[in-house]
Amino acid sequence: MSVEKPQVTVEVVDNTLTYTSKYTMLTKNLKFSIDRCVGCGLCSTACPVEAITLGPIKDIAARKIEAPQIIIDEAKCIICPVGASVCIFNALKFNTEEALKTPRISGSINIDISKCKPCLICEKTCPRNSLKAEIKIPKKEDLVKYEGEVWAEGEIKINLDKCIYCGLCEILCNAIKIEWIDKPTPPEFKIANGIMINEDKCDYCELCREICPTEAISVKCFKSASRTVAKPEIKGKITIDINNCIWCGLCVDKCPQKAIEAKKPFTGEIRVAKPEKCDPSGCKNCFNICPLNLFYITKTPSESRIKVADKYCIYCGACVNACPYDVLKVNRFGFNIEENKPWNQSYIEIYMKLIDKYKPKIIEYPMRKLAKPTEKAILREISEAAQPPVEIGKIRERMDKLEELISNRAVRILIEGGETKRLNSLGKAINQNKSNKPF
Amino acid sequence: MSKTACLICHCGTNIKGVIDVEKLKNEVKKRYGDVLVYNNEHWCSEDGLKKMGEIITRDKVSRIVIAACTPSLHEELFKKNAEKYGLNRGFVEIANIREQASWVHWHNPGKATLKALDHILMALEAVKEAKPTNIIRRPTERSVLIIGGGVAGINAALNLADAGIKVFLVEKSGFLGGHMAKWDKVFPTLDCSICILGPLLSQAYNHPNIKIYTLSEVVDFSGMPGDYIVKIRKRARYIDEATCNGCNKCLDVCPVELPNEYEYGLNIRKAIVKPEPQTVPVAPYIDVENCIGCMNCIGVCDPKAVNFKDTDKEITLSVGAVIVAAGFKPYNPIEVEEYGYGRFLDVITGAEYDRMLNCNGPTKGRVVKPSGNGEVEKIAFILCVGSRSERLGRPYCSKVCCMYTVKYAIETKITNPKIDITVFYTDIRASGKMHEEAYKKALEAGVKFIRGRVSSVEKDKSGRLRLTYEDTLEGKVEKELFDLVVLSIGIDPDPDNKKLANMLGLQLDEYGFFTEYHPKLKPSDTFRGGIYLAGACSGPKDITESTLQAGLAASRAAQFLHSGEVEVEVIAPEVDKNKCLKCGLCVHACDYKALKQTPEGILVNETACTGCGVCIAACPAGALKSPKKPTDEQIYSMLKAVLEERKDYPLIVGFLCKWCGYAAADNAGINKILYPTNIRIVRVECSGRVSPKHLVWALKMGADGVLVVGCREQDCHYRTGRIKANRRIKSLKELLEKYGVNPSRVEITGVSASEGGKLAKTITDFVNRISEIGPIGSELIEVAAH
Repeated sequence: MSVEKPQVTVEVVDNTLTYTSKYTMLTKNLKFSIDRCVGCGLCSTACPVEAITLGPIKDIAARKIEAPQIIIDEAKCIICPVGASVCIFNALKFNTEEALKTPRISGSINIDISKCKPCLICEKTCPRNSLKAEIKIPKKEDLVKYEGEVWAEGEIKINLDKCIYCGLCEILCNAIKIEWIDKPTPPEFKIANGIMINEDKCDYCELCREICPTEAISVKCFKSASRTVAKPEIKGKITIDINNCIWCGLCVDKCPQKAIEAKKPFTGEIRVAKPEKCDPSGCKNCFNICPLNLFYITKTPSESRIKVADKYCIYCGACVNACPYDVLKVNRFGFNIEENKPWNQSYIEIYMKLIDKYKPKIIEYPMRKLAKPTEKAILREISEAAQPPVEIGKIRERMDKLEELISNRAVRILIEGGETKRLNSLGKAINQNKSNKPF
Repeated sequence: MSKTACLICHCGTNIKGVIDVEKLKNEVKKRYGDVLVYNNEHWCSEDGLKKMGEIITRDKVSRIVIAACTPSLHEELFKKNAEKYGLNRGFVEIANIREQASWVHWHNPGKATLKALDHILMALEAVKEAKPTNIIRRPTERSVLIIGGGVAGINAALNLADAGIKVFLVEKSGFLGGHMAKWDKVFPTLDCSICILGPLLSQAYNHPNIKIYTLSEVVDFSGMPGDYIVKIRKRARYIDEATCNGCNKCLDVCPVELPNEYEYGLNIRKAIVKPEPQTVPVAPYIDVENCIGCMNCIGVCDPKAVNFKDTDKEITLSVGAVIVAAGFKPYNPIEVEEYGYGRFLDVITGAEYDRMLNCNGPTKGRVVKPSGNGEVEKIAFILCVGSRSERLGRPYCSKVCCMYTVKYAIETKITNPKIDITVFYTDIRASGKMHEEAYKKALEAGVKFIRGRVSSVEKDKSGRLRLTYEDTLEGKVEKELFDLVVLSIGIDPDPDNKKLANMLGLQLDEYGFFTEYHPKLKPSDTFRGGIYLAGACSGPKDITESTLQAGLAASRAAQFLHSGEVEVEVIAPEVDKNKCLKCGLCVHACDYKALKQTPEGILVNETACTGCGVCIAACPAGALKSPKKPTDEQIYSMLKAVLEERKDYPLIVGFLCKWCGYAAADNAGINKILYPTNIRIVRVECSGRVSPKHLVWALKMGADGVLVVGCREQDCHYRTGRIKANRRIKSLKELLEKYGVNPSRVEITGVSASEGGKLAKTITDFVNRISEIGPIGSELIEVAAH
């Protein structure tokens, strides 16, 4: 009696599909979130039973229809951790009681708190809103205490070339307003358009100049009512939403303190391979699908129509699936895996399918060296003729001297060590030393 | 007044037929007037031993020299006999005049006699300096380690366990049974293989005295006979053997599919492995390198036997004896290009055909073409593939192939009478019980037997295979079409034998099988006390012979442990404080850290010492005194005895290590391989025991050449003894050159214990070379002439 694989049931709640498999001793499920899915197709390539096929990615990217980006064949799916382990967008999740700690492809990100100021730059830069800066700076009103009247005179100017839009001055004082850009776009990924000071509200306390990390603000108070100005203390931290972050590394470049380190989940390259095929009317599929908004239109139409900020690309390959004209090419050279676990061997085999230029292992048969037949000994007739005379006396003399020599401790050390070179120099001395005294 | 007796053995005609034993007696008496000389047909017989005893007691003899066969054979017997009559075993010397004289120099009886005389004179001089041997008794562990869970290992295990001895059985794969469990039927009874083996496996698995470790290997081995310390690494099974109920549901639901090595790639297996339904143990194991962690197996396992938290374990055991039953590997015929194995799917090996016939196999017992093109109407069996072949490096006969081919032929004819079977043979070797009758039965069933070699297997246009062969009895060359070609492959040694041999200190022969102590009389013993061999790991054999050898190994192991203690010779050297220069060379020379340099002097750790003698050879002052023969004084006396009156020209002195060099010389004797008589042999523990001093003495006293024969560097039984000997000889050769002596007079080489032919050739070449150089001292005349 052979056991049949239990039927996989599907449940749809909002934009999440749950595939469940019920065994006698165990129930496990796979949750697929359409919202999180990008349509990269990594799960489809990795699936060990080829149960996942890509949906109509091109139409989804063109915003023509709304549909799930992947289709999981319930008859084939075995509900395993493999698909979830390659999904860097956390769209596929494997759940069961006491799940095994199988490997995952993931990048890494780390903020060095000794270097972090903190400031708002990484939060504003992140294209996926994965960084949240919680910054506590006491309000200017609490820091500047007037004893009696409230007035001041001075001048204030912000050098726009130096300002990096860290946002600290804005948190500090209501007089400063930054014109933030909602979604930074390539190629510069600017996070703000400008910064303005409302001089009516400014009382030239000079706190903003102190707080500015790039000395972009120049303030001078000519005269003011008597007041005490306390030093501002900046406290805060950056929290990373690990479910959302896909390790593109944009924040790494933008952080003025170089406090962030990140490693991508894949190494590889992305190219606009066939720019001549790009749709003249601008289909924008790649723009729509890229989870990091890395595509932009070039200023000079003589090159390609579109360009990609490849430094931050994580090589998911969604754009290749979306492009109707095969304009783009993504190659993955390697992947980053979390920890060393017993399953790494089989999982690495599976992950290799995601890498281009992957050749499956070829089993080689060991070849045994062909032995040569043993040669038969050739006997020579050695006559029993009279033995030739020998200078045995001289031999005895010399061998006695040799025996004395090798009883010498220093010589024996050389012999044991096999240091024949130094024995050679000894030899010269032997020949010169006619009295043949031992050394 | 201590009397010495010289006992010359005739060994029937083995010695007497070549050597003039009367001349020996007279020459000995001429030189040693007070030595009593006796002859006997067989000193090793009941009568001979008694006579020896009478001589000891009646003549008040205190030293004996026995001139007979190799000491490796009867040394123990003679020594025990001497002790029985009150003479300490240390005063018994053996002179080898059979394997190293009469059996290898029958082309020149006159010179053979002179060589035998020299060996006797050496022994007489050595025994003068003999000292009593100290024996201490050490307790033994009453347990045995068996390496290998095939038919030999299981048989030995049951034999020992039923006798009340605790057994630890270590099996590399996940299940017991070895190769026999894979076969469908066994010859000639045509019993179902697993049906007769299965009950034994279950019995062993459930026996209170047997502890079985599957998925386990021996990773470390140390200690002495009677007290071996073994480290075993047990790989994680991930299934609890105790709770698994063998329902096999997990096998059905595992999604991973891989080529099945058990079926030689004929079908697939899962990542949870259980090759057949009735394995022992019943629990499968998980191949974690291919498992994807989907947990389907956990989902169907009612007794909750799946445990992914399992880890590899290391277990240390203390055992008294070891039986090696590591089995064999079927030959891979891919290098026999003319038969097309690996190129044509329809050319398969005998092992694969057996799996095809097996009702639990990949085709459930149907005979099919693996390529799938059509029905099987004609099968060709080609014998001697990978056996009896110089070209393939396997000149031995694998013993089982003729009979298993006859078995397949009969089996196939019973289930598929319409299939036409042809067997291409060189000989049909059917020597066992009922084997010849089975061959007759195959002939009667209509199986064609054609004597001749198949020269090639090619693909025909029709998709069938075309064999070109010579029918030697008809005297014709023919071509014929077949559907299926089965190559009757031979038995290869398991490639892991080398690692195991290194660890246990055992020897392999030139093909890679384990070497037994004596192929006729001690086929189960090895050169290491307390370690025995069983099964095909020591050479090709069938199931009957494996069972026989396993029984013998079990009996020997039980005998070894029976008394509860083992006698061990005291072997550690002593330091003469007056001579010691405190240079520390001996400390550096010892691989076992048995010597330590302290402010008071050199200290010897007796339990760590293995008695190799490398330290004694390293000492420049001769301050280390060895209790083991030969001592430096004995070597000096032996050389003097041989070289005082040189009986041959050129005269070579050979220092042969007892493990390989001396054993190879004995092997040459057993195989009656001729080589020149010009060598006189001194038996040493290790080539590392030979000191440059000994070589200088030999040359000084008039030897024309000195040959040191040890083990091969990687096989040295004392780790780096041979390498140290290499260094010393190399340095000495350079010094000799400085002193005007031709350095080619001294040579060191290595052989394996079964390479008698190679040693004979080495000695012949060396003797030829020395005779070209001239007698010792002749090069000095030339020097003087310049």
